[in-house]
Amino acid sequence: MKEGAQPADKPVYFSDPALQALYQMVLILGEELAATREQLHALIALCEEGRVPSADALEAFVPDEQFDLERADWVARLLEPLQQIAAAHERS
Amino acid sequence: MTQPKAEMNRSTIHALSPVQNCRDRGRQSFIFHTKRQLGQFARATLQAQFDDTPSERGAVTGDDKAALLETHPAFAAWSALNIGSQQQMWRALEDMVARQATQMNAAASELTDASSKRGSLQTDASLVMPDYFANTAYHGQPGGYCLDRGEHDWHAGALQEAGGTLYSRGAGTGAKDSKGQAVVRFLATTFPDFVPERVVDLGCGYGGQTGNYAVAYPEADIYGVDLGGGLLRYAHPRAEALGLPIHFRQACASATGLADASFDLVVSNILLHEIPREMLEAVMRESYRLLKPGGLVVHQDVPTQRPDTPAFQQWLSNWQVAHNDEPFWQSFAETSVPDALATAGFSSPDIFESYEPQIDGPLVWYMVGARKS
Repeated sequence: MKEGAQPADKPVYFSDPALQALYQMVLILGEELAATREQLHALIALCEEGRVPSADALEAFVPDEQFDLERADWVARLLEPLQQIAAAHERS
Repeated sequence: MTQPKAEMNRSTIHALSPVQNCRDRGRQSFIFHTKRQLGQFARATLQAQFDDTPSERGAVTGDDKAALLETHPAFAAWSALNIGSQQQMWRALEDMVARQATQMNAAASELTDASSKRGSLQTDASLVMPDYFANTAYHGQPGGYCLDRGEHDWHAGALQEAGGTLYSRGAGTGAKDSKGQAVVRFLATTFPDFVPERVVDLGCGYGGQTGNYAVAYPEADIYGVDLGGGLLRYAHPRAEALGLPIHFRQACASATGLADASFDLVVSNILLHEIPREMLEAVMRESYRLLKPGGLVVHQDVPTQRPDTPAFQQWLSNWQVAHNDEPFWQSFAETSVPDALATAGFSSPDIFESYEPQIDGPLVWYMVGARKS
């Protein structure tokens, strides 16, 4: 019976460690929103097709490539401030 | 009986594969795109900062540039997001697997207990785990490879396969990539007449690469050896589900318990950078012991030793050491595997090294091995 190893503590690069936690909170929110977007997209698509959006139909629904482009696009927008941080540093 | 598929790669689906539901797909897509974006940011913005550091700021060497980059405010944000993304990846995969544990248990039991099965599994509950293995949660995987909650537990293998797939796709590797296939292709090109009758894969993990040897050499007896019982209890039914007759044995890659001079081909896939130096040297000795005269050993791994690796790429790789539970990455980079092979008994003219492209991805793999004379 072995519960296994635990990941090592990770370095913190911010003078205020709470900032590192804040980044993690943003990611968790983003992930939750992504899951909700996925369900909502399936729900709307099924309704548009005139189908009953049952739990089984939702699980069987496969989004098209266009939806994946939209996923990529909004993650890019979420992370866009990274570029702004870099650009501001460049100007300083 | 399932017929073996022609290709085993990162898109291989089998009876134990957890199925994504709608929410899993949303969560994992988010993680995938986050990793892709962070990788692009590193290769574009952080690399430009690194490469363009003016020498008047005192940055002459790669180490100087790295030290300056690590004071850049975007670096802190990028690091925090990378660390957070890896943590959320494991949480998402754990949730997906846990939800389907009952079905996966049933599939694993049915395949493991089948009277028609062609492979085998021998675990060893008395095996003492080396400290380095017991204490490392490689890549942040919950519990690490040594997670083992008892005689039916296969979670370590399920997480290793799912995590390896999502992580590597996020890093830019294609769905058709396969490290085992890269070794097979290298062997076919370099030793075109070589057809092994007995193959052993050291540190085989969930058996994803082992399957490629079973496909490439269908007449051969294929063995997979790993320390992790929780890995092998997944590898075995997985191989059976795919119609691959593989014999899995729980043992250390440096002390397999297999007979002297009993294999034509000894391989490992990305094992060497995950073990301490003394273990690497012991694995080379074991490779020599296991090989028949005329047999080949090939160890495939990350190309940390490539002399022309750009300084930024080197920095990015090193970042893994501190941030992604890769405690032996640096020691591997500083170890001469050909020297270790020579010390283990292989003749220097029989030792070879090569850098080979991925099957489906932008990276190259390090191949190092020898023929036993």
